[in-house]
Amino acid sequence: MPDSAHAPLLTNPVRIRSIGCRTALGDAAESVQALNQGRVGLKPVPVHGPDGGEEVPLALRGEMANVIPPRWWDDLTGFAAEIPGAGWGSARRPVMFTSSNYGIDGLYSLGKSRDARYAPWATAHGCVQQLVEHMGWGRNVFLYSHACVSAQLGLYQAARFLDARLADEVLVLSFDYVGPFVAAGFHALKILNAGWPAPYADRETGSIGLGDGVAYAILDKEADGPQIRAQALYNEMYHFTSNAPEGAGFQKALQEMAPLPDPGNFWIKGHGTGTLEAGKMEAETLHRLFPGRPLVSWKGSLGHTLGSCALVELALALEASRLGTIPGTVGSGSPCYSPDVRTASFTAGNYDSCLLLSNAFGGAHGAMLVSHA
Amino acid sequence: MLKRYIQSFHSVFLDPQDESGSLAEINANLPKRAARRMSRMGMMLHYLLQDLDLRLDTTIVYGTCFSESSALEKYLDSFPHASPTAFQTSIHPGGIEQALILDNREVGAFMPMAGSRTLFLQMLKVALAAASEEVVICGGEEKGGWLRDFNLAYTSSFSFAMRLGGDSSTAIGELVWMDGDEPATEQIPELEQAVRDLKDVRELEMGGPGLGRLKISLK
Repeated sequence: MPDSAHAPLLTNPVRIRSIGCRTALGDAAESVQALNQGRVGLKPVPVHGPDGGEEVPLALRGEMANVIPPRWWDDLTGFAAEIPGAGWGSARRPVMFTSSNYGIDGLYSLGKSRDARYAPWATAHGCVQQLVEHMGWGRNVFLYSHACVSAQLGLYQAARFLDARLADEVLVLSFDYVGPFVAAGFHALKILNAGWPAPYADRETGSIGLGDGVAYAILDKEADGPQIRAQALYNEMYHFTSNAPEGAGFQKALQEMAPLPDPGNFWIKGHGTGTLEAGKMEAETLHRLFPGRPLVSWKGSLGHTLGSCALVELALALEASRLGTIPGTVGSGSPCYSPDVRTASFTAGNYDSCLLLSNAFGGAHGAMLVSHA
Repeated sequence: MLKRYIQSFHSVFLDPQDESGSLAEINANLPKRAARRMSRMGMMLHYLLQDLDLRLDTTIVYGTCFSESSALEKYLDSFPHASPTAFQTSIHPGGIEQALILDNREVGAFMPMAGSRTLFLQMLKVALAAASEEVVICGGEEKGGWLRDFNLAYTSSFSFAMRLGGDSSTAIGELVWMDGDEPATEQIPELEQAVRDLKDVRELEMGGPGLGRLKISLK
Protein backbone atom coordinates (compact mmCIF):
# COMPACT_ATOMS: atom_id res chain seq x y z
CA MET A 1 0.00 0.00 0.00
CA PRO A 2 1.34 3.50 -0.76
CA ASP A 3 2.31 5.35 2.38
CA SER A 4 1.68 8.92 1.33
CA ALA A 5 -2.06 8.89 0.76
CA HIS A 6 -4.56 9.33 3.55
CA ALA A 7 -8.23 8.56 3.76
CA PRO A 8 -9.92 11.87 2.94
CA LEU A 9 -12.07 13.49 5.63
CA LEU A 10 -15.53 14.99 5.41
CA THR A 11 -15.40 18.07 7.60
CA ASN A 12 -18.67 19.89 6.95
CA PRO A 13 -20.59 19.51 10.21
CA VAL A 14 -24.09 18.11 10.30
CA ARG A 15 -26.43 18.29 13.25
CA ILE A 16 -27.99 15.27 14.88
CA ARG A 17 -31.51 16.61 15.45
CA SER A 18 -32.91 13.44 16.97
CA ILE A 19 -31.48 10.03 17.76
CA GLY A 20 -32.50 6.84 19.52
CA CYS A 21 -31.77 3.15 19.77
CA ARG A 22 -32.78 -0.16 21.29
CA THR A 23 -30.50 -2.95 22.37
CA ALA A 24 -30.99 -6.14 24.34
CA LEU A 25 -30.71 -3.94 27.44
CA GLY A 26 -33.57 -1.63 26.44
CA ASP A 27 -33.76 1.86 24.97
CA ALA A 28 -30.79 4.24 25.00
CA ALA A 29 -31.26 5.44 28.58
CA GLU A 30 -31.89 1.92 29.90
CA SER A 31 -28.91 0.55 28.00
CA VAL A 32 -26.57 3.25 29.31
CA GLN A 33 -27.79 2.73 32.86
CA ALA A 34 -27.27 -1.04 32.56
CA LEU A 35 -23.78 -0.57 31.10
CA ASN A 36 -22.88 1.79 33.92
CA GLN A 37 -23.98 -0.91 36.35
CA GLY A 38 -21.68 -3.37 34.55
CA ARG A 39 -24.55 -5.55 33.36
CA VAL A 40 -23.83 -8.01 30.56
CA GLY A 41 -26.67 -8.40 28.07
CA LEU A 42 -25.15 -11.45 26.43
CA LYS A 43 -26.56 -14.86 27.31
CA PRO A 44 -25.70 -18.38 26.14
CA VAL A 45 -28.01 -19.25 23.23
CA PRO A 46 -27.91 -22.20 20.77
CA VAL A 47 -26.21 -20.91 17.64
CA HIS A 48 -29.01 -22.15 15.34
CA GLY A 49 -31.74 -20.82 17.59
CA PRO A 50 -34.72 -23.17 17.52
CA ASP A 51 -32.63 -25.70 15.61
CA GLY A 52 -30.06 -26.10 18.40
CA GLY A 53 -26.29 -26.14 18.18
CA GLU A 54 -23.48 -25.05 20.48
CA GLU A 55 -24.32 -22.27 22.91
CA VAL A 56 -22.76 -18.92 22.04
CA PRO A 57 -23.06 -15.45 23.61
CA LEU A 58 -25.94 -13.53 22.06
CA ALA A 59 -27.77 -10.44 23.32
CA LEU A 60 -31.21 -10.68 21.75
CA ARG A 61 -34.43 -8.69 21.98
CA GLY A 62 -36.46 -11.86 21.43
CA GLU A 63 -35.86 -15.53 20.81
CA MET A 64 -34.68 -16.65 17.39
CA ALA A 65 -37.50 -18.40 15.53
CA ASN A 66 -38.43 -19.59 12.04
CA VAL A 67 -41.61 -17.56 11.70
CA ILE A 68 -43.45 -15.24 9.29
CA PRO A 69 -43.27 -12.30 9.71
CA PRO A 70 -39.79 -12.49 11.23
CA ARG A 71 -39.44 -12.37 14.99
CA TRP A 72 -38.09 -8.79 14.76
CA TRP A 73 -41.00 -7.32 12.79
CA ASP A 74 -43.06 -5.97 15.70
CA ASP A 75 -39.97 -4.66 17.46
CA LEU A 76 -38.74 -2.81 14.37
CA THR A 77 -42.09 -1.36 13.35
CA GLY A 78 -42.74 -0.28 16.94
CA PHE A 79 -39.39 1.49 17.01
CA ALA A 80 -39.93 3.09 13.59
CA ALA A 81 -43.34 4.38 14.68
CA GLU A 82 -41.62 6.48 17.35
CA ILE A 83 -39.34 8.28 14.88
CA PRO A 84 -40.37 11.95 14.82
CA GLY A 85 -41.29 13.82 11.66
CA ALA A 86 -43.28 13.01 8.57
CA GLY A 87 -42.74 12.56 4.88
CA TRP A 88 -39.79 10.21 5.17
CA GLY A 89 -38.77 8.77 1.83
CA SER A 90 -40.03 11.82 -0.05
CA ALA A 91 -37.86 13.79 -2.47
CA ARG A 92 -36.31 16.11 0.14
CA ARG A 93 -36.42 13.66 3.09
CA PRO A 94 -34.60 10.54 1.99
CA VAL A 95 -34.07 7.54 4.22
CA MET A 96 -30.65 5.89 4.43
CA PHE A 97 -31.16 2.30 5.54
CA THR A 98 -28.09 0.54 6.84
CA SER A 99 -27.56 -3.02 7.99
CA SER A 100 -25.19 -5.89 7.50
CA ASN A 101 -27.96 -8.46 7.06
CA TYR A 102 -31.32 -6.63 7.07
CA GLY A 103 -32.67 -9.33 9.33
CA ILE A 104 -32.71 -11.92 6.59
CA ASP A 105 -33.74 -14.76 8.86
CA GLY A 106 -36.10 -15.57 6.02
CA LEU A 107 -33.20 -16.71 3.86
CA TYR A 108 -32.11 -19.26 6.45
CA SER A 109 -35.69 -20.49 6.89
CA LEU A 110 -36.16 -20.68 3.13
CA GLY A 111 -32.91 -22.61 2.72
CA LYS A 112 -34.07 -25.11 5.30
CA SER A 113 -37.65 -25.53 4.20
CA ARG A 114 -37.80 -24.34 0.57
CA ASP A 115 -41.06 -22.70 1.66
CA ALA A 116 -41.82 -19.80 -0.71
CA ARG A 117 -43.62 -17.85 2.01
CA TYR A 118 -40.21 -16.86 3.38
CA ALA A 119 -39.08 -15.36 0.05
CA PRO A 120 -40.39 -11.79 0.64
CA TRP A 121 -38.29 -11.70 3.83
CA ALA A 122 -35.17 -13.18 2.27
CA THR A 123 -33.55 -10.11 0.71
CA ALA A 124 -32.49 -6.70 1.96
CA HIS A 125 -34.83 -4.94 -0.45
CA GLY A 126 -37.69 -7.27 0.47
CA CYS A 127 -37.42 -6.52 4.18
CA VAL A 128 -37.07 -2.77 3.60
CA GLN A 129 -39.98 -2.71 1.17
CA GLN A 130 -42.23 -4.31 3.79
CA LEU A 131 -41.17 -1.69 6.32
CA VAL A 132 -41.53 1.25 3.93
CA GLU A 133 -45.03 0.14 2.93
CA HIS A 134 -46.02 -0.48 6.54
CA MET A 135 -44.83 2.98 7.58
CA GLY A 136 -46.35 4.73 4.56
CA TRP A 137 -42.99 6.20 3.61
CA GLY A 138 -41.98 7.23 0.09
CA ARG A 139 -39.62 5.40 -2.26
CA ASN A 140 -36.66 7.76 -1.98
CA VAL A 141 -34.82 5.26 0.17
CA PHE A 142 -31.24 4.02 -0.10
CA LEU A 143 -29.91 0.70 1.17
CA TYR A 144 -26.27 0.43 2.25
CA SER A 145 -24.70 -2.79 3.34
CA HIS A 146 -21.04 -3.04 4.16
CA ALA A 147 -20.88 -5.51 6.98
CA CYS A 148 -20.03 -3.87 10.30
CA VAL A 149 -19.30 -0.35 8.99
CA SER A 150 -22.73 -0.06 7.33
CA ALA A 151 -24.14 2.58 9.69
CA GLN A 152 -21.03 4.74 9.28
CA LEU A 153 -21.80 4.76 5.54
CA GLY A 154 -25.38 5.85 6.09
CA LEU A 155 -24.28 8.74 8.28
CA TYR A 156 -21.56 9.69 5.80
CA GLN A 157 -23.98 9.62 2.89
CA ALA A 158 -26.57 11.60 4.81
CA ALA A 159 -23.95 14.31 5.34
CA ARG A 160 -23.14 14.25 1.63
CA PHE A 161 -26.79 14.63 0.62
CA LEU A 162 -27.14 17.61 2.96
CA ASP A 163 -23.95 19.21 1.67
CA ALA A 164 -24.96 18.65 -1.96
CA ARG A 165 -28.40 20.13 -1.17
CA LEU A 166 -30.09 16.95 -2.29
CA ALA A 167 -32.03 16.83 0.97
CA ASP A 168 -33.40 19.12 3.68
CA GLU A 169 -33.07 16.46 6.34
CA VAL A 170 -32.13 12.81 6.26
CA LEU A 171 -33.28 9.85 8.31
CA VAL A 172 -30.67 7.15 8.89
CA LEU A 173 -32.28 3.94 10.10
CA SER A 174 -30.26 0.88 10.94
CA PHE A 175 -31.36 -2.54 12.14
CA ASP A 176 -29.55 -5.81 12.66
CA TYR A 177 -31.30 -8.71 14.30
CA VAL A 178 -29.33 -11.90 14.78
CA GLY A 179 -30.56 -15.08 13.15
CA PRO A 180 -29.01 -18.49 12.56
CA PHE A 181 -27.71 -17.36 9.15
CA VAL A 182 -25.39 -14.80 10.73
CA ALA A 183 -24.68 -16.52 14.05
CA ALA A 184 -23.69 -19.77 12.36
CA GLY A 185 -21.42 -17.92 9.97
CA PHE A 186 -19.44 -16.21 12.72
CA HIS A 187 -19.42 -19.50 14.62
CA ALA A 188 -17.97 -21.24 11.55
CA LEU A 189 -15.23 -18.61 11.48
CA LYS A 190 -14.56 -19.61 15.12
CA ILE A 191 -14.71 -16.05 16.46
CA LEU A 192 -18.19 -16.59 17.90
CA ASN A 193 -17.47 -19.42 20.30
CA ALA A 194 -18.29 -20.55 23.80
CA GLY A 195 -15.97 -17.87 25.23
CA TRP A 196 -17.17 -14.54 26.56
CA PRO A 197 -15.96 -11.36 24.82
CA ALA A 198 -13.51 -9.14 26.70
CA PRO A 199 -12.66 -6.27 24.30
CA TYR A 200 -9.04 -5.07 24.37
CA ALA A 201 -8.08 -7.57 27.10
CA ASP A 202 -4.69 -9.18 26.54
CA ARG A 203 -5.58 -12.86 26.90
CA GLU A 204 -5.06 -16.26 25.30
CA THR A 205 -8.09 -16.59 23.03
CA GLY A 206 -10.40 -14.06 21.49
CA SER A 207 -14.17 -14.25 21.20
CA ILE A 208 -17.07 -12.04 20.25
CA GLY A 209 -20.75 -11.92 21.10
CA LEU A 210 -23.50 -10.83 18.74
CA GLY A 211 -26.44 -8.62 19.61
CA ASP A 212 -29.68 -7.21 18.25
CA GLY A 213 -29.59 -3.49 17.63
CA VAL A 214 -31.83 -0.91 16.00
CA ALA A 215 -31.18 2.82 15.86
CA TYR A 216 -32.12 5.98 13.99
CA ALA A 217 -30.77 9.48 13.61
CA ILE A 218 -32.23 12.51 11.89
CA LEU A 219 -29.59 14.81 10.45
CA ASP A 220 -29.84 18.36 9.17
CA LYS A 221 -27.63 21.44 8.77
CA GLU A 222 -28.80 23.49 11.75
CA ALA A 223 -26.11 24.69 14.15
CA ASP A 224 -27.38 23.86 17.64
CA GLY A 225 -27.19 20.44 19.30
CA PRO A 226 -24.81 17.52 18.82
CA GLN A 227 -22.87 17.56 15.58
CA ILE A 228 -20.95 15.09 13.47
CA ARG A 229 -17.88 17.23 12.87
CA ALA A 230 -15.67 14.91 10.83
CA GLN A 231 -16.04 11.56 9.09
CA ALA A 232 -13.54 9.24 7.43
CA LEU A 233 -13.85 6.01 5.49
CA TYR A 234 -10.99 3.76 4.51
CA ASN A 235 -10.79 0.21 3.13
CA GLU A 236 -7.56 -1.74 3.31
CA MET A 237 -8.55 -4.46 0.82
CA TYR A 238 -5.71 -6.49 2.24
CA HIS A 239 -7.56 -9.68 3.17
CA PHE A 240 -11.18 -10.74 3.68
CA THR A 241 -10.93 -11.45 7.38
CA SER A 242 -7.66 -10.00 8.62
CA ASN A 243 -6.10 -6.56 8.73
CA ALA A 244 -2.88 -5.36 7.15
CA PRO A 245 0.13 -6.06 9.39
CA GLU A 246 1.10 -3.77 12.24
CA GLY A 247 -2.15 -1.85 12.22
CA ALA A 248 -1.30 0.07 9.04
CA GLY A 249 -4.97 0.22 8.10
CA PHE A 250 -6.02 1.62 11.47
CA GLN A 251 -3.29 4.22 11.16
CA LYS A 252 -4.45 5.28 7.70
CA ALA A 253 -8.08 5.46 8.71
CA LEU A 254 -7.37 7.63 11.73
CA GLN A 255 -4.33 9.74 11.02
CA GLU A 256 -6.34 12.47 9.32
CA MET A 257 -8.34 12.86 12.50
CA ALA A 258 -5.20 13.56 14.55
CA PRO A 259 -4.35 17.04 13.16
CA LEU A 260 -7.97 18.27 13.14
CA PRO A 261 -8.09 21.88 14.28
CA ASP A 262 -9.75 22.15 17.69
CA PRO A 263 -10.92 18.53 17.96
CA GLY A 264 -12.18 19.23 21.46
CA ASN A 265 -11.54 17.14 24.51
CA PHE A 266 -12.77 13.81 23.25
CA TRP A 267 -13.02 10.27 24.50
CA ILE A 268 -13.04 7.26 22.20
CA LYS A 269 -15.72 4.66 21.65
CA GLY A 270 -13.70 2.01 19.84
CA HIS A 271 -14.91 -0.89 17.72
CA GLY A 272 -13.54 -3.46 20.18
CA THR A 273 -15.40 -6.69 19.42
CA GLY A 274 -13.23 -8.98 21.50
CA THR A 275 -11.06 -10.48 18.75
CA LEU A 276 -7.40 -10.35 19.75
CA GLU A 277 -5.50 -9.19 16.70
CA ALA A 278 -7.86 -6.39 15.62
CA GLY A 279 -8.38 -5.28 19.22
CA LYS A 280 -4.64 -5.03 19.77
CA MET A 281 -4.10 -3.09 16.54
CA GLU A 282 -6.93 -0.70 17.31
CA ALA A 283 -5.92 -0.04 20.92
CA GLU A 284 -2.23 0.40 20.10
CA THR A 285 -2.88 2.70 17.13
CA LEU A 286 -5.23 4.85 19.19
CA HIS A 287 -2.69 5.10 22.00
CA ARG A 288 -0.03 6.16 19.51
CA LEU A 289 -2.21 8.78 17.78
CA PHE A 290 -4.28 9.99 20.73
CA PRO A 291 -2.42 9.13 23.93
CA GLY A 292 -4.36 9.56 27.14
CA ARG A 293 -7.82 9.63 25.53
CA PRO A 294 -10.12 7.19 27.35
CA LEU A 295 -10.97 4.19 25.15
CA VAL A 296 -14.05 2.04 25.71
CA SER A 297 -16.04 -0.66 23.93
CA TRP A 298 -19.49 -1.89 24.94
CA LYS A 299 -19.65 -5.02 22.79
CA GLY A 300 -18.71 -7.19 25.78
CA SER A 301 -22.21 -6.47 27.07
CA LEU A 302 -24.39 -5.54 24.08
CA GLY A 303 -22.73 -7.96 21.74
CA HIS A 304 -21.67 -6.80 18.31
CA THR A 305 -24.72 -5.24 16.72
CA LEU A 306 -23.02 -5.70 13.34
CA GLY A 307 -23.95 -3.21 10.61
CA SER A 308 -25.91 -1.14 13.09
CA CYS A 309 -23.19 -0.84 15.72
CA ALA A 310 -22.02 2.64 14.72
CA LEU A 311 -25.48 4.17 15.03
CA VAL A 312 -26.51 2.17 18.10
CA GLU A 313 -23.31 3.15 19.88
CA LEU A 314 -23.57 6.77 18.73
CA ALA A 315 -27.03 6.95 20.33
CA LEU A 316 -25.62 5.44 23.51
CA ALA A 317 -22.61 7.77 23.54
CA LEU A 318 -24.83 10.86 23.29
CA GLU A 319 -27.22 9.53 25.91
CA ALA A 320 -24.34 8.70 28.26
CA SER A 321 -23.00 12.20 27.82
CA ARG A 322 -26.44 13.66 28.56
CA LEU A 323 -26.78 11.51 31.68
CA GLY A 324 -23.28 12.46 32.83
CA THR A 325 -21.48 9.11 33.04
CA ILE A 326 -19.70 7.23 30.25
CA PRO A 327 -19.81 3.44 30.68
CA GLY A 328 -16.49 1.60 30.72
CA THR A 329 -15.52 -1.52 28.79
CA VAL A 330 -17.93 -3.96 30.39
CA GLY A 331 -16.64 -7.52 30.42
CA SER A 332 -12.94 -6.62 30.24
CA GLY A 333 -10.23 -6.42 32.87
CA SER A 334 -6.47 -5.98 33.14
CA PRO A 335 -4.16 -6.47 31.44
CA CYS A 336 -5.35 -4.56 28.37
CA TYR A 337 -3.59 -3.73 25.13
CA SER A 338 -3.40 -0.04 25.99
CA PRO A 339 -3.22 1.97 29.21
CA ASP A 340 -6.01 4.14 27.78
CA VAL A 341 -8.63 1.38 27.98
CA ARG A 342 -11.17 2.24 30.67
CA THR A 343 -12.90 -0.72 32.27
CA ALA A 344 -14.83 1.45 34.73
CA SER A 345 -17.31 4.28 34.06
CA PHE A 346 -16.03 7.86 34.06
CA THR A 347 -17.47 11.35 34.28
CA ALA A 348 -18.71 12.81 31.02
CA GLY A 349 -18.34 16.40 32.20
CA ASN A 350 -14.64 16.46 31.38
CA TYR A 351 -15.29 15.85 27.69
CA ASP A 352 -17.11 17.68 24.93
CA SER A 353 -16.92 15.14 22.12
CA CYS A 354 -16.42 11.52 21.18
CA LEU A 355 -14.52 9.72 18.42
CA LEU A 356 -16.52 6.67 17.28
CA LEU A 357 -14.90 3.88 15.29
CA SER A 358 -16.13 0.86 13.34
CA ASN A 359 -14.33 -1.90 11.44
CA ALA A 360 -15.49 -4.69 9.16
CA PHE A 361 -14.47 -7.57 6.95
CA GLY A 362 -12.19 -6.54 4.12
CA GLY A 363 -10.30 -4.19 6.42
CA ALA A 364 -13.06 -1.59 6.25
CA HIS A 365 -12.82 1.35 8.65
CA GLY A 366 -15.26 4.12 9.52
CA ALA A 367 -14.63 6.94 11.95
CA MET A 368 -16.56 10.00 13.07
CA LEU A 369 -15.89 12.79 15.53
CA VAL A 370 -19.10 13.88 17.25
CA SER A 371 -19.53 16.83 19.59
CA HIS A 372 -21.90 16.16 22.47
CA ALA A 373 -23.78 19.45 22.26
CA MET B 1 -29.09 20.36 -11.52
CA LEU B 2 -26.05 18.21 -10.85
CA LYS B 3 -23.74 17.11 -13.63
CA ARG B 4 -20.74 14.80 -13.89
CA TYR B 5 -18.64 13.81 -16.87
CA ILE B 6 -18.42 10.16 -17.83
CA GLN B 7 -14.86 9.12 -18.62
CA SER B 8 -15.45 5.45 -19.40
CA PHE B 9 -18.17 2.83 -19.44
CA HIS B 10 -17.65 -0.91 -19.86
CA SER B 11 -19.82 -3.95 -19.33
CA VAL B 12 -19.61 -7.73 -19.45
CA PHE B 13 -22.46 -10.13 -20.19
CA LEU B 14 -21.64 -13.79 -19.77
CA ASP B 15 -22.99 -16.15 -22.43
CA PRO B 16 -25.96 -17.82 -20.67
CA GLN B 17 -25.20 -21.06 -22.54
CA ASP B 18 -21.51 -21.04 -21.70
CA GLU B 19 -20.70 -18.91 -18.69
CA SER B 20 -17.45 -20.77 -18.05
CA GLY B 21 -16.26 -20.06 -21.57
CA SER B 22 -17.07 -16.36 -21.22
CA LEU B 23 -15.24 -16.19 -17.92
CA ALA B 24 -12.19 -17.94 -19.33
CA GLU B 25 -12.01 -15.31 -22.06
CA ILE B 26 -12.11 -12.32 -19.76
CA ASN B 27 -9.91 -13.77 -17.05
CA ALA B 28 -7.06 -15.24 -19.05
CA ASN B 29 -4.56 -13.37 -16.89
CA LEU B 30 -6.15 -14.16 -13.55
CA PRO B 31 -4.05 -16.52 -11.38
CA LYS B 32 -5.77 -19.93 -11.55
CA ARG B 33 -5.63 -20.47 -7.80
CA ALA B 34 -7.29 -17.11 -7.16
CA ALA B 35 -9.90 -17.69 -9.84
CA ARG B 36 -10.95 -20.97 -8.22
CA ARG B 37 -11.91 -19.09 -5.08
CA MET B 38 -13.69 -16.21 -6.78
CA SER B 39 -17.35 -15.83 -7.63
CA ARG B 40 -18.45 -14.99 -11.16
CA MET B 41 -19.26 -11.50 -9.94
CA GLY B 42 -15.79 -11.17 -8.45
CA MET B 43 -14.16 -12.25 -11.71
CA MET B 44 -16.29 -9.98 -13.88
CA LEU B 45 -15.60 -7.01 -11.64
CA HIS B 46 -11.88 -7.76 -11.54
CA TYR B 47 -11.84 -7.68 -15.32
CA LEU B 48 -13.69 -4.36 -15.45
CA LEU B 49 -11.79 -2.64 -12.66
CA GLN B 50 -8.26 -3.89 -13.24
CA ASP B 51 -7.25 -1.03 -15.52
CA LEU B 52 -9.14 1.74 -13.73
CA ASP B 53 -7.04 4.12 -11.67
CA LEU B 54 -8.50 3.89 -8.16
CA ARG B 55 -7.13 6.41 -5.69
CA LEU B 56 -7.92 6.96 -2.05
CA ASP B 57 -9.99 9.96 -3.05
CA THR B 58 -11.99 7.98 -5.61
CA THR B 59 -15.51 7.28 -4.39
CA ILE B 60 -16.72 3.80 -5.32
CA VAL B 61 -20.45 3.14 -5.56
CA TYR B 62 -21.25 -0.55 -5.87
CA GLY B 63 -24.69 -2.04 -6.29
CA THR B 64 -26.27 -5.43 -6.67
CA CYS B 65 -29.73 -6.71 -6.01
CA PHE B 66 -29.02 -10.37 -5.27
CA SER B 67 -25.30 -10.24 -4.56
CA GLU B 68 -23.28 -13.47 -4.45
CA SER B 69 -26.02 -15.93 -5.39
CA SER B 70 -23.78 -18.96 -5.76
CA ALA B 71 -22.03 -18.38 -2.47
CA LEU B 72 -25.38 -17.80 -0.76
CA GLU B 73 -26.72 -21.09 -2.11
CA LYS B 74 -23.56 -22.93 -1.06
CA TYR B 75 -23.73 -21.42 2.39
CA LEU B 76 -27.41 -22.25 2.88
CA ASP B 77 -26.87 -25.79 1.58
CA SER B 78 -23.98 -26.28 4.01
CA PHE B 79 -26.23 -26.20 7.10
CA PRO B 80 -26.17 -27.57 9.72
CA HIS B 81 -22.36 -27.54 9.22
CA ALA B 82 -22.13 -23.92 8.12
CA SER B 83 -19.28 -23.31 5.66
CA PRO B 84 -16.94 -20.52 6.78
CA THR B 85 -15.71 -19.94 3.24
CA ALA B 86 -19.19 -19.70 1.76
CA PHE B 87 -20.29 -17.42 4.60
CA GLN B 88 -17.34 -15.14 4.02
CA THR B 89 -17.92 -15.02 0.25
CA SER B 90 -21.67 -14.50 0.60
CA ILE B 91 -21.36 -11.32 2.65
CA HIS B 92 -22.30 -8.18 0.78
CA PRO B 93 -20.20 -6.66 -0.90
CA GLY B 94 -18.15 -9.80 -1.47
CA GLY B 95 -17.97 -9.57 -5.28
CA ILE B 96 -16.12 -6.30 -5.53
CA GLU B 97 -14.04 -7.06 -2.45
CA GLN B 98 -12.72 -10.18 -4.16
CA ALA B 99 -11.74 -8.07 -7.15
CA LEU B 100 -9.99 -5.41 -5.07
CA ILE B 101 -8.40 -7.67 -2.45
CA LEU B 102 -6.79 -9.79 -5.17
CA ASP B 103 -4.57 -6.82 -6.07
CA ASN B 104 -4.61 -5.17 -2.60
CA ARG B 105 -6.20 -2.01 -3.99
CA GLU B 106 -6.98 0.19 -1.00
CA VAL B 107 -9.88 2.62 -1.38
CA GLY B 108 -11.42 5.43 0.64
CA ALA B 109 -15.15 6.15 0.41
CA PHE B 110 -16.74 2.90 -0.71
CA MET B 111 -20.55 2.73 -0.85
CA PRO B 112 -21.90 -0.79 -1.32
CA MET B 113 -25.62 -0.62 -1.96
CA ALA B 114 -28.49 -3.04 -2.16
CA GLY B 115 -31.96 -2.61 -3.59
CA SER B 116 -34.15 -3.66 -6.46
CA ARG B 117 -36.24 -1.57 -8.83
CA THR B 118 -34.74 1.82 -7.98
CA LEU B 119 -31.22 0.56 -7.23
CA PHE B 120 -29.46 1.93 -10.31
CA LEU B 121 -31.16 5.30 -10.00
CA GLN B 122 -30.15 5.54 -6.35
CA MET B 123 -26.57 4.48 -7.12
CA LEU B 124 -26.28 7.29 -9.66
CA LYS B 125 -27.70 9.79 -7.18
CA VAL B 126 -25.15 8.70 -4.59
CA ALA B 127 -22.42 9.09 -7.21
CA LEU B 128 -23.61 12.61 -8.00
CA ALA B 129 -23.47 13.50 -4.30
CA ALA B 130 -19.92 12.18 -3.89
CA ALA B 131 -17.39 14.45 -2.23
CA SER B 132 -14.72 13.48 -4.74
CA GLU B 133 -14.45 14.38 -8.41
CA GLU B 134 -13.44 10.83 -9.33
CA VAL B 135 -16.22 8.28 -8.91
CA VAL B 136 -16.52 4.69 -10.08
CA ILE B 137 -20.02 3.23 -10.29
CA CYS B 138 -20.08 -0.52 -10.69
CA GLY B 139 -22.11 -3.60 -9.96
CA GLY B 140 -23.98 -6.44 -11.52
CA GLU B 141 -25.64 -9.74 -10.86
CA GLU B 142 -24.79 -13.40 -11.20
CA LYS B 143 -27.03 -16.19 -12.42
CA GLY B 144 -28.43 -18.15 -9.53
CA GLY B 145 -29.39 -21.80 -9.09
CA TRP B 146 -32.23 -22.89 -6.84
CA LEU B 147 -32.72 -19.38 -5.49
CA ARG B 148 -34.09 -18.44 -8.93
CA ASP B 149 -37.11 -20.64 -8.20
CA PHE B 150 -38.07 -18.09 -5.57
CA ASN B 151 -37.13 -14.98 -7.59
CA LEU B 152 -34.19 -14.50 -5.22
CA ALA B 153 -31.44 -14.68 -7.82
CA TYR B 154 -30.84 -13.33 -11.28
CA THR B 155 -31.34 -15.26 -14.51
CA SER B 156 -28.10 -14.12 -16.13
CA SER B 157 -24.66 -12.86 -15.18
CA PHE B 158 -23.43 -9.40 -16.05
CA SER B 159 -21.39 -6.60 -14.64
CA PHE B 160 -20.53 -3.00 -15.47
CA ALA B 161 -18.25 -0.15 -14.45
CA MET B 162 -18.60 3.55 -15.20
CA ARG B 163 -15.97 6.11 -14.28
CA LEU B 164 -16.88 9.75 -13.64
CA GLY B 165 -14.38 12.57 -13.55
CA GLY B 166 -14.18 16.34 -13.77
CA ASP B 167 -12.46 16.76 -17.14
CA SER B 168 -14.97 17.58 -19.85
CA SER B 169 -12.33 17.41 -22.60
CA THR B 170 -11.74 13.69 -22.09
CA ALA B 171 -15.38 12.82 -21.39
CA ILE B 172 -17.32 10.24 -23.38
CA GLY B 173 -20.63 11.39 -21.96
CA GLU B 174 -22.60 13.12 -19.23
CA LEU B 175 -24.64 12.18 -16.21
CA VAL B 176 -27.21 14.85 -15.34
CA TRP B 177 -29.61 14.96 -12.40
CA MET B 178 -32.61 17.28 -12.62
CA ASP B 179 -34.07 17.51 -9.15
CA GLY B 180 -37.67 18.65 -9.10
CA ASP B 181 -38.13 17.94 -12.83
CA GLU B 182 -39.80 14.62 -12.39
CA PRO B 183 -41.62 12.52 -14.97
CA ALA B 184 -45.32 12.11 -14.19
CA THR B 185 -45.03 8.35 -14.32
CA GLU B 186 -42.20 6.14 -13.19
CA GLN B 187 -39.67 5.21 -15.88
CA ILE B 188 -37.05 2.98 -14.33
CA PRO B 189 -35.54 0.06 -16.21
CA GLU B 190 -34.23 -3.06 -14.49
CA LEU B 191 -30.49 -2.86 -13.81
CA GLU B 192 -29.64 -5.28 -16.62
CA GLN B 193 -31.79 -3.39 -19.12
CA ALA B 194 -30.24 -0.09 -18.04
CA VAL B 195 -26.74 -1.46 -18.63
CA ARG B 196 -27.77 -2.91 -22.00
CA ASP B 197 -29.30 0.43 -23.03
CA LEU B 198 -26.10 2.24 -22.12
CA LYS B 199 -24.03 -0.31 -24.02
CA ASP B 200 -26.18 -0.41 -27.15
CA VAL B 201 -28.36 2.72 -27.31
CA ARG B 202 -25.87 5.00 -25.50
CA GLU B 203 -28.63 6.94 -23.87
CA LEU B 204 -30.81 6.46 -20.82
CA GLU B 205 -33.39 8.60 -19.06
CA MET B 206 -35.13 7.54 -15.89
CA GLY B 207 -37.00 8.84 -12.90
CA GLY B 208 -40.37 9.07 -11.30
CA PRO B 209 -42.59 11.01 -8.93
CA GLY B 210 -40.61 11.76 -5.78
CA LEU B 211 -37.48 10.30 -7.33
CA GLY B 212 -36.34 13.07 -9.68
CA ARG B 213 -35.14 12.67 -13.26
CA LEU B 214 -31.77 11.51 -14.44
CA LYS B 215 -30.25 11.42 -17.89
CA ILE B 216 -27.15 9.64 -19.15
CA SER B 217 -25.80 10.21 -22.63
CA LEU B 218 -22.74 8.52 -24.08
CA LYS B 219 -20.92 9.41 -27.29
